[in-house]
Amino acid sequence: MKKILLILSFLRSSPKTVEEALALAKDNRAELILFFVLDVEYANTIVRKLAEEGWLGERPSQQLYNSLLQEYQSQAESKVAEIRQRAVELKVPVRAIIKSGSVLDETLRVASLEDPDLIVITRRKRSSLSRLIFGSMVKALKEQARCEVRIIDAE
Amino acid sequence: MYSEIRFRLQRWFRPTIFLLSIAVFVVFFNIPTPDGLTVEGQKALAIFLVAILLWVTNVLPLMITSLLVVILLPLSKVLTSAESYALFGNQAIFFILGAFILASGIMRSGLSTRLALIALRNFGRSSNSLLAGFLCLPAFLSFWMSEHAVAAMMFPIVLEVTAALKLVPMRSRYGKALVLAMAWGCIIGGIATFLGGARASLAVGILYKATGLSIGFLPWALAAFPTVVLLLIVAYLVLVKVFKPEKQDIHEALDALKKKQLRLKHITLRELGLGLLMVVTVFLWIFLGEEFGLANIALGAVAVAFVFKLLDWKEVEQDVNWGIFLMYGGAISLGFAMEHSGAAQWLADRTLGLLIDSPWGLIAMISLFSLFLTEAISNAAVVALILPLSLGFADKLGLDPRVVTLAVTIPSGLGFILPTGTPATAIAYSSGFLRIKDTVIGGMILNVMSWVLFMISIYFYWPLIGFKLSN
Repeated sequence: MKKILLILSFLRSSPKTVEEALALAKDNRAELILFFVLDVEYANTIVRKLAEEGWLGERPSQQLYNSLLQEYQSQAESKVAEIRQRAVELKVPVRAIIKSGSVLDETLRVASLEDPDLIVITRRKRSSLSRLIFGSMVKALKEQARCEVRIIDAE
Repeated sequence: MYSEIRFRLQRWFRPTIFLLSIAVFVVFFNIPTPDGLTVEGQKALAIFLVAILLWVTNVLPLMITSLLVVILLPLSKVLTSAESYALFGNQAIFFILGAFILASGIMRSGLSTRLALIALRNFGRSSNSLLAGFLCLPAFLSFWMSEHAVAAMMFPIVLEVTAALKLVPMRSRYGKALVLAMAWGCIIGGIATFLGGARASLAVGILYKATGLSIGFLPWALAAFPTVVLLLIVAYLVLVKVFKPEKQDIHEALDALKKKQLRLKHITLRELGLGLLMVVTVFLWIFLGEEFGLANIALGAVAVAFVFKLLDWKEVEQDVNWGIFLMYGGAISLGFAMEHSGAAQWLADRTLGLLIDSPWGLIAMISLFSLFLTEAISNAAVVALILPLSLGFADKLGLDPRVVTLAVTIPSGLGFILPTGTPATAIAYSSGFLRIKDTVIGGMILNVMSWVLFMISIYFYWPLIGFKLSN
């Protein structure tokens, strides 16, 4: 195993997943690629809500959207720095990528470019009914990825 | 993920609601007219039910539902086309137009940010006083401009402070308290005057069309003010006692605020001019509002601002959300049609009338209903839906319609619980510092306290300022 792709986002950054990915990379002497996806959908929802209900005009809405993305970027950078520090302590070679967009689409895009041997991702706590009705991103990733996908349930 | 969920949800939800709306309209339009209801009243009720469905489910933007109402009223012959469209000319709408245009200039000139930074630096004696600053300052600014615009303006400032203090999202209790203070300040301040939430002028517009009565700028502010002050104190106590923010060395935060203030450089003539114009306008609204009309004063101030080049039309076009005028026009038309056709009275008798037989019962129930309904739907929609019914019933119980208007409208601005309840809470939640349980726990306490304090205020204080329960 040469490359492990660890998928992170605001809703998927469980410490258990991070530790497992680091341990796997160390045991297999593999490179760990931290891929943090800035899920822009929430920011989009807020801005849409404000436009329709909060009565904000176009420019203030855009300024708010930019502030949100800037905050998400800075939170992602500090999370990545924290994991990078841990990887250095464990002597695991590490690389980080931060991108905004949909978690599934961006993960598939980066996976096709990086060609990892393993993708590690957190599965969020949700009811079986919710998964049945709304579907599961993790399941879709498992079906569409060209390598093994290891799913770690969030604590 | 969210888009995937929304896509799946909308695939069946939207068509279902549209079909249901059509079914409700057709059924209520065609059933035999119930006893005590006129044919026009029955048609108005059918349109009212469609508006409830669409406003509550939000499958259409609020303003588009309003336009639908304006079209359906003349097509159903509840009002003539001339009457229906003429209600867009209500002075409440033009008052809001003027207030929003003035607020655009204040934001664009940097005056609001400058005032916010100066005030916050003066609050910075300890971490708790800075927290109090982030609660009281947005509240004060929301007295004079839209609470949503204040939240959007304050949000980057809060984020600069959390970054300077290196507060960790989700983990820092001080971080949670800061973003919630900003949101709660905006919400609480937004109920104080006609300018904060804009729904107050919508309510006064509906009141005037239904009864010929009105509420002035100062009487409204006087009625709301004790609730605002007491709620700010309660909110601060909730932030400090429930969230137990860790003590912080706030020097880094004060440095960040100072740097931001220095970037603004010297105060400009435009800022001074707009500040002065706003002070004079508020003075006129308070003391000469009834004589000259709030809308006339607001639009007069806008004209003066353009004469002195304090405003730029291109900026105004980008800053004002013009949809609000469509929403309010439709809401006022619907309220008028419900009242004019007798549908409001008929429906109130068969809903509120079955549950309540005392004036206090009505006030308690409508304010509580308004307080919790606003968690689910837009506060302007709450006013548009509940006020016509409540006014219909107020007449039967001999209640002062102005008191009923205040009892529906003030609580409709106080949605603290859900991130979806008000845009300010949604903005705070989107910072990444809060979990849903944070807004729910603090919000529940504030919602209950809001209602209790509001009822105490109605009972003991309002009669002193001329708002007695009965005529």
